[in-house]
Parts: sequence; C-alpha cells; structure tokens
Amino acid sequence: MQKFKKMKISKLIIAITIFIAILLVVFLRKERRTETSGILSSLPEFQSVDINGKIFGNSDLLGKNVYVQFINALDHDQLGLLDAVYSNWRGNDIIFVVCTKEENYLRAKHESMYPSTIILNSNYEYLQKAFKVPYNLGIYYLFDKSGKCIDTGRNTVGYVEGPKVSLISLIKKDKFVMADFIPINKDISTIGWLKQLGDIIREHDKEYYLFALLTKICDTCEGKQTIQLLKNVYSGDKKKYFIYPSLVLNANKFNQGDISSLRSQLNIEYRIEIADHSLNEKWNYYIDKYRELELSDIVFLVEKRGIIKELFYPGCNCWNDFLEFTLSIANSMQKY
Amino acid sequence: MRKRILAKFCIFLVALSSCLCQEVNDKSVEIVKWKKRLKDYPFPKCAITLEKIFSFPKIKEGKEDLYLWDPISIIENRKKDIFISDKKAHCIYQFDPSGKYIRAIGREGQGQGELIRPIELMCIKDYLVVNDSGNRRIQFFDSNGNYVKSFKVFKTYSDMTANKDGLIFAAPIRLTPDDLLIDVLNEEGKLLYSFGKGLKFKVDWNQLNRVKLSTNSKGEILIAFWQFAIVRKYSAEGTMLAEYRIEHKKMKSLEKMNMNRISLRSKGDKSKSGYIVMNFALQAKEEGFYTLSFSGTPVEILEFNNEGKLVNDYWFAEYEYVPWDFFVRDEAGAKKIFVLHRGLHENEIDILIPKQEGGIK
Repeated sequence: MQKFKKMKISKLIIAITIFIAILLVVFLRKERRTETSGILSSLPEFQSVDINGKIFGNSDLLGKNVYVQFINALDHDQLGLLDAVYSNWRGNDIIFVVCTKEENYLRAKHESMYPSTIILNSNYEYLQKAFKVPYNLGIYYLFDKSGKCIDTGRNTVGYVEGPKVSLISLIKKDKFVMADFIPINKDISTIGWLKQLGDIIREHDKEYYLFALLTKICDTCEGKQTIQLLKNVYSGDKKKYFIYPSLVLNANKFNQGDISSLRSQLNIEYRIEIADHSLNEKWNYYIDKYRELELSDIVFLVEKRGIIKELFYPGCNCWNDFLEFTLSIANSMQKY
Repeated sequence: MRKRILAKFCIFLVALSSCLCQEVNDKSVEIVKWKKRLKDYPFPKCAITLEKIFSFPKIKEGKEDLYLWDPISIIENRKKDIFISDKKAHCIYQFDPSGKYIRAIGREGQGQGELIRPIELMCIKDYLVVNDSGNRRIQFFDSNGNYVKSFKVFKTYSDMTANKDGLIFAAPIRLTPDDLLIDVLNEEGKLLYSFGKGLKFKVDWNQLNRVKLSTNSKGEILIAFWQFAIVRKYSAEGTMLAEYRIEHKKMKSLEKMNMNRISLRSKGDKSKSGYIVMNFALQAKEEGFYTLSFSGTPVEILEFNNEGKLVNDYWFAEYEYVPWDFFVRDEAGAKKIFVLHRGLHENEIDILIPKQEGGIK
C-alpha cells in the first residue's frame, strides 16, 4: 500500500515538473518578445565589445552627449539616417554609437565613412534588451551629458523629421522660437517679411484678418483643421465685413497653377495667396534650419490696426484656446 | 532515485524541444491546412486552371540588379508596354510587351519627374500618369519616361483611373456619410464633379465604401466594392447604368461574413475589427469586366459579361501567394493574365494562361 502511495506521489511530482517546465518555456518565450519593449529615460548600464575587440560600456559615455542608433537591417532609410547624422554632426561634442548585427558591412565602412563611430556588434540581442528596443526595430536615441534621453524615434522617420531639431538644441543650444518668425502683439506693418499680409489689411476694411501659412495641405492630414476653420469663419460671416480669412502657401511647394486645383478640390472660396519673396525667404530659412513640422499650419489673427492678436502653431498646444478666441469673435460678428 | 531524476530530466528535455520545434512544425501544419482549404474550395464546375508560363523581372536585368521592393500597381499602355509602380523604390519600371526590362522612370525626390511612394498608374493618350502619393500630385510622363506636367492633389484617394477622354476618376476617402464615391478631375487637376451614392451603413461607412475603379473603351467607369460582391457601371457623366450582384458561391459567403460583422459592430460589439476584402482589383473590358478575388486560397480571376453574368472563372493556387493587381491581355481570343504577386521572398509579375478552353455553361 505504501509502495503504491509512493508511486502515486512520484508520478505527481513528474507531472508537476513537466507542467512547470512547459510553463517556464512558454514564459521565457514570451519574455523574449516583451521584455525588450519599453521607454528608456536614461542611458542604461551595459557592457559590450566594439569591432576592434575593445570592451566598451556606459561608463565610457558618462558626461558626454551620445547618439545611439540600432540598425536592424541595411536598408536605405536606416543607413540614410546614420549618414545624415554623422555628416552633419561629426567633429562636434557628440559620440556616435552604432549597434548592429550587420558587422561585416559596417566594419568595411568604419574606417572610410564613420571613423569616429563606435560600432558595437557583440550580442545584439543583449544590447537591444539593455536599451529596451521594442520589437527588434531600428531606432535611435539621443542622450545628453547627464545621461538623460532627450529624443528617440524610429530610423525610418529620417533625419529631418527625426533627431535634427533635438541635435540642434543639444549641441548648438539653439531652439526654434515662433515669436522670431511671427511675433505676437506686434504691428504687422513693422515686420519686413510680413509686408504682403500688411498690404492685404490695407486693401480691406475688416475688423479682423485670419491668416494661415501652410506648406502642406490635405483633406485628411496636414492643415485639415485650419482649412475647415477658415471655411467656417468665411461661411459664417455672411456679410463678409468682419473676419477676412486668407490662406498663404509656401512658394517652394506651390505655384499659381495649384490655386485653382486647390479651390475646386477642397471647395475653398476665400482668398488664397502664394507667399511673396521676402516672406518665403524668411519662412524657408526657418524650415531649413529646423524642420517643416513646426512651420506649416501657422494660423494667426490680426486686428484691424495690424496688431497680431492670437497665434496658433504646431507644438504650441493652444489650438483650443485659439479656436475659442476666434469663435468668440466669429460669434460676436453675428450681432452686426 | 537516479533513474527517476533522469526520467524527469528526459521529460523536461522533450517538453523543451517540442516547444522549440513548434515553429518548424507550424509551417508544415499550415501547408496541410492550406491544401485542405484548396480541396474544399467551392469551385464552379467549369473553373479553368491557370498555368504559370513566365515570371519577371529577373534579378539581373542587363547591367542592373532589379528587384521589386514594394510593387503596388501594374498597367499596360496602348503599345502593350508594361509599367509597375514600386512604392519603396520610388519609381516606375517599364517593360516591353514580353516582360523585358526597358527602364526605370523617376527617382526619389520632390522635383519634376521625381517620385515619392508612387501608387496608381493610368494611361491617358500616350502619357503614363502616376499618382505620386508622397508628393501629393499627379505626374504625366511621355512614352520615353520624360516628365511632361503635373498637378497637385489635395484630397486623399484610395484608387484612381482615367478614361479615353483624359478624365481622371478618383475614389476619395469619405469624410462624411454623404460624400460621393467618385471625383472627376481634368488633366489640370480641376475637380469637375462628383457622383455615386455610397452604400448606407450606420458603422464603418468609410471603410465599407472603398472601391476599385476601372474604365472601358467607351469611357464608362466601373466600380467594385472591396468588401461586397457588387460592381456598378456609370457613364462618364455619373449616371448609373447598371448594378451587378456577383453570383459566386465563395464571394457570397464572404459577403455574408462581412454583413454579420457589420451587424455585430452596429450592436456595439467591437471585438471583431476589419472586413474581408474580396475584390482586390478590377479591369473593365469592352463588354463586361474582370475581377481579382482572393481570400487566402486560391487566386481567382472572374470574367463577367455585359449583363454581369459570370462567364469564366480562372484560378491559380500556390502556397503563400498573394496577388496584388492584374491585367488581362486578350490577343485574338488567347488570354494572358499578368498578375502582380507579392511573395515572402520575392515580388514578381507572373504571366498565367488558361490550361484548357472552357467556360461556365
């Protein structure tokens, strides 16, 4: 009887062991997939070996600005980003670290193209885990001297829409300020590059002028809400003497011929202008220096006497305030 | 005691290896399932098997390495030259009627003749017209691939085609349930008029009204709904000339599944998202039309007459074969079907011919 009991217990132990083993394997397989994803806020602790066999870790990077790029495939987008960052910022106060599985390719390029880059190739999966690279993606990180992560994104977004602005801010200590381009509470007639808009104000006798500067227009993406706002204001102002909306298009992106297509395709009745030389020059100076993302879809309201009263631009987090102010004016015009 | 430990260890190893081998086994299981699905597929009695006779491009085309990275659309012009748009390579590849590589048109960029993510292709007179989606414009190229002109597009379109008179028909992404199905643009980009009432649904009215477009030699336009066995014919001016309900067993069952999903989602059940696409592509012909249907197994090119009656059901099956676009070349009654296929390892154009003469009686 005792022997029988012992046999039963041992069978039970075997069954539990198998169950635990299966659970463990399943758990580990899941872990492999999920543990790497997350948001990295600071330079992680890691130790690896560079392509020259030198041991390299986070302690070598402390007190330095660091650009880290994980390249998971040798495609045009990923290498294009590395090329752009390297050629623009080489020789500045920044260390480039590339983590890749494609050792042979980058080894060949190392001396000729990226001589001051540290290329880590040992144990790519370990590095991915240390840097919390999600789903084996190709991504970049930018860390400041305190080790804080100040920017991250996918390699596929490219240099301009990706790390460009953060690098300018980190290395050159230069940040785009919208007031340099469209200064609020200033008289538009005193701002040289806004002369074209000042002329529009002089031509008409309205209470307010609503200007929208756009480099991209699409009914489902960029500029969508702005186009709609101007449409609402224009159609709401039945007597057409209160708010005067105008769309101003970047001359590098649009020409006079595009205006009729735009009018018919999006059913726009209000004024559409192509930016004149001085506005376009200033506008594109900022676009080239920073990026288009912040410099399209700028909307501002100007009073009759030419003072820029209210301003909206991407990144200001003020669309609701702007909309509220504009609509309060639009509502007050109903009384006229 | 030792024996017992050894036995436990062996069992552990077996469990571990079985888990690790799962991925390898998965594929063979999938192939078996796929073969069973093919066997059970409700083919009409006289369905005609297609045979692959040639594939292109070859990786080494002349001096250049040619690989289709992300081919989206295939079209042939009046001279029967073949054009393929490659969204990732940002160019159009031109081949002669036999599939021999001629040239790449355009390259990545924003300048004249440069492209970013080209998708739909059209032929207007002798021009190749490209929906240059990344640059939000339509570009015209001459027969030698030189840039001619362009216009900007400010609306978002899911498909485009052009008729013999140079009118461009485009299916907009609907922003309100009352938006019409087709916009008509001229060669200067002016929106001339819109037409076509969408199917009425309480939910997902945008997604459920996606259509594929094609024009015939009379200048009429045909539209096929992605998720329904419905094809409509309109005059170029927008008068609906016919609405065909496709009589095809598999498509009917897929449509029923979509209808069930709509009914669930209308009741607030969000667990099932997305709908089954049954019309992958459409090609109008002088009297009738072809559709490309695919739901995992097999690829079917369905030929309909002018009354919308199914006259031929051509099919082709290969594991992990995903058709994307097609056109049918009819040379004195001998059909050659050019299918743009996207595979796991390669993207190619396959030329398929019917294995036997026949048709649905």
